[in-house]
Amino acid sequence: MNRRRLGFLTLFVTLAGLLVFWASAASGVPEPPFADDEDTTPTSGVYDFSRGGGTNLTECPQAGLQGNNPQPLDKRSLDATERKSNGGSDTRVNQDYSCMPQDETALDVNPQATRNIIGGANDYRLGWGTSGFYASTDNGKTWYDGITPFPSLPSGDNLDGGGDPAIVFDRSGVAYYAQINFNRTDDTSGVWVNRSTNGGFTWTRPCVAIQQGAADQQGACGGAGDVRQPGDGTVSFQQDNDTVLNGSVPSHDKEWITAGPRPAGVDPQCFSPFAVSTIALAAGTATPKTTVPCTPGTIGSDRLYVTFSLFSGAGSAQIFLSYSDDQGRTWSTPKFIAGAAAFCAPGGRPGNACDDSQGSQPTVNPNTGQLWVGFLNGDTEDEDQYLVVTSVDGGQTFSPPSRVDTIYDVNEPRGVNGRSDCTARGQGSTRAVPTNSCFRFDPIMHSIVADKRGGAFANDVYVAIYDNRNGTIRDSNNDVFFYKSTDGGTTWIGPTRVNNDRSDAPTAANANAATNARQGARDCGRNNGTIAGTQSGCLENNFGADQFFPWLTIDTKGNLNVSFMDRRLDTDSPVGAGAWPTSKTEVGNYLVWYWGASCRISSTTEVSQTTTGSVPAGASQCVAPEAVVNPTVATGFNPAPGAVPGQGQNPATLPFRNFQVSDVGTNYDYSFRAGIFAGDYSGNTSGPIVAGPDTPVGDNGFKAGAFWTDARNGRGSGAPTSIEPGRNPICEQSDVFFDTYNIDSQSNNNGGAKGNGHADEDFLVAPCPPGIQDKGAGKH
Amino acid sequence: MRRLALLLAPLVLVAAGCGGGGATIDKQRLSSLVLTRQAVGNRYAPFYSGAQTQLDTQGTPRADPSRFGREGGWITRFHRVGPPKAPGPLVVESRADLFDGSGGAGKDLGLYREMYSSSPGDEHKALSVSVGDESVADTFVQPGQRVRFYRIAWRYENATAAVTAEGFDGKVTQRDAVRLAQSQQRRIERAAR
Repeated sequence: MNRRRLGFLTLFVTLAGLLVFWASAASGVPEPPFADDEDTTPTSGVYDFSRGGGTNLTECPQAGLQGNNPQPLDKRSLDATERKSNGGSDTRVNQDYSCMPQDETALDVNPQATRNIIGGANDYRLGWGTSGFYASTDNGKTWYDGITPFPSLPSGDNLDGGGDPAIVFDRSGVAYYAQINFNRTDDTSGVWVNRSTNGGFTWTRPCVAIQQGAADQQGACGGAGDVRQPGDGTVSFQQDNDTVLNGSVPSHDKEWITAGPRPAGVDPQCFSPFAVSTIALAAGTATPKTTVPCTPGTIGSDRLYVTFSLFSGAGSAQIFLSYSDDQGRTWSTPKFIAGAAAFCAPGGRPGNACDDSQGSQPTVNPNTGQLWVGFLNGDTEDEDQYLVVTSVDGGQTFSPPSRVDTIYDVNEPRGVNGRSDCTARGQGSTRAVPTNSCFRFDPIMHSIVADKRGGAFANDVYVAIYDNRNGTIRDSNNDVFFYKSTDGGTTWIGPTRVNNDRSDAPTAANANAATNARQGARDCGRNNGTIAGTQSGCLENNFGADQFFPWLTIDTKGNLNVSFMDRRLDTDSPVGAGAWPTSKTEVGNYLVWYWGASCRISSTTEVSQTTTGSVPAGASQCVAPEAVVNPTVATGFNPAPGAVPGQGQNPATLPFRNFQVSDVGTNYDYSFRAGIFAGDYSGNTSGPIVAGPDTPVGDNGFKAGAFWTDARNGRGSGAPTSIEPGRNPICEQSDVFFDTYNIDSQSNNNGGAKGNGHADEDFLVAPCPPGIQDKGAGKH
Repeated sequence: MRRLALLLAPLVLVAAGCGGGGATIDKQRLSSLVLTRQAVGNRYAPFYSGAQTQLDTQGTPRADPSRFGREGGWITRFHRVGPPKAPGPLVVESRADLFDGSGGAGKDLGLYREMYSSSPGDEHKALSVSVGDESVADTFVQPGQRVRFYRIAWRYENATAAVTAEGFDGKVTQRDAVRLAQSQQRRIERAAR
């Protein structure tokens, strides 16, 4: 989801652009007047509906609802798109009729009652971004939903902006919903965790305790009669200092949560409820939270870990971690965990700190309690990198970061290198977008998961990323890649391409334009050292379809479950077609399905070496034959624009079984306000985490569930149906959908996916049905 | 990628020292300074209208919302309904920014000049267009389908404004963009009275 930026950083960006302009003028080389860098704004940023996002219309397509919930009066007949959308086994999870979007999904299954599944998503049903929850107690057949309670401030205000959902159950079946909350009119923001003890139907309301000299801590959370424990659910909080939305204080973004057993020798701790400024702590001007006796009966089965990004002058975003032993009631002082390394030296931070980071995710081995945190880092010469740190003492101390691989993202299509059609639609000029579309695509959020088994697997951890190493700034071809470590996260094996469709690597022959080629092949058209360039430096070439927003989980039997957005089935949508014809520049690669991929790891061997080379046989499960040990050693930390690992892998020998999950290919141009946003990640869950009293999802424990953003109910907004007919509401909307499938590699059960696998014209251009309009009072 | 933080400190000081003359357009009139559907025609549907957000200037020299005494900005975007290759722009963007003086607006136009001095497309060409007190304009083509862009920015009193017109090459013309800019300028002049 989406946050805003700090004022001094926007000024920084402005002046960076000025500096680049000055520098390029001095060198005599014409360069675009844009910042010589990646986007320095928070990934989330505010994508919202200005002027309230009204409700002057009352109907919109509603395909995918299941069950016997009450239904509104609606005499409108279904259009062809809606009829097709209802045809498969996908279940719509959000139950609202608001005609507003839901996107950016997270999912987990209750280990104590595995028919109980909870999802979270950005939910705009109120007219602005909030955190929606979705709960099922029948294996996802039917759902109950709502908006999580907003955190309350001592002032009596509520932080009603929310998003970046993350869901986890602890081993006892208590559910936790982590999110960012913020004001839209000033810079107040933070990270909070709601708690549910009834399977996600009721959630606690977080409570900010601010020490204002009052001895009575109880009063800090809303006064007498407030039954909540002061500070309940408050992970990090930053009050604005001038009540103006101007970036005057640090900004929170992209948190994630996990749960796991406290490692041996680590005892539960509880903390003072009063929030401490993370930046003041880093500056040494504040003292850490004190430990306090835990409230009796509140110690949870697991330690909860929350990581988050904090944008400030100390780093474009630093990664912090906080933990809780009392079911999210109190939280430890946020700790900077990204560490320092030689490969972060280009960032120029003191001590080579890896301070320019985003998209963190914690994961815990449920047997040992060892914690890993993966995150993206931009303290590099050029391409970003994915790093992992680990802790064996419950988050008290961390290893230095290890480098999984380069994230080849700087050659994504963007406004600054030729996608002016997207900036005209309202997209930020440095935001990555895919070919043919304009929805935000920055490869920020990747996925990491620890093996659920002990013994030989206790040190095994897995990563799925996506990037554009097989595409160019003119023609995106993002792929999903898998990496694994069998030595606790130090040595990495990969990349293994997860999606097994055609994916051709850019070469000098197929990518470089004869003139103005600048850097070649993968980086054709790019200005050296920037994300900017000109698409004319690249030949028009369809390298393959985009796969993006992967999520990775593993069940207790070693079945890896990767799910992701996928455009491979759209092979024939024409150039100049679709909802925004000037954006549709390539045949196919437009409509979006949700896909899954699975592979089983049944044996492991520790691989620990500092050199690169072929993968030992004992560690080769779910590894492509072309993958290597330590790919970053093979390429160096600043790969040249030529061939790199992950290119040219033979689809016939890729180890992941691929299968279609969603039933229809939907059009993200209809997802949110001219198609500029469809979330930043998707979610899935895999089988039981621990054995529970109920039947696992499915009947053999191999079952998995996926939860994704789906625009099948989105339509073009045709005039004249409202005062502002092109905006949300009414017809531009995305929903969130769920389906189950089998990740046992011997099974062909893929969730009953239907569809003939091409760009169905009913989704290619889907007008807002004529019956959708404000009918006036008394009419229905 | 590597950041440039420390190198920029001198420029921060330079930028902070800018000022300007007296305001003649009140910020309460901000939303009336951009094109309306009436001005662009019934074939166009607005798909966004509101105060400018971070995304509207993100990654550009105009990214600082507090630059040069800026008091606020408004933006409206239109999408043409109907056949994509009919004459006229397919997407129109109209924006306006108000400053506490004409000096600030002039400096903002300077940033537009920097932006328009090059483009991420092909066949970039500066255009001679006269709108408001001073103006800058350019055109370029996005490769692939040859999508043509016309950009016109100008200053009037303490306001800057800009129109972007996008459409298939040969279907959208400089005249289209100028007509839209002049229409918006008339709205600004009315607001200044």
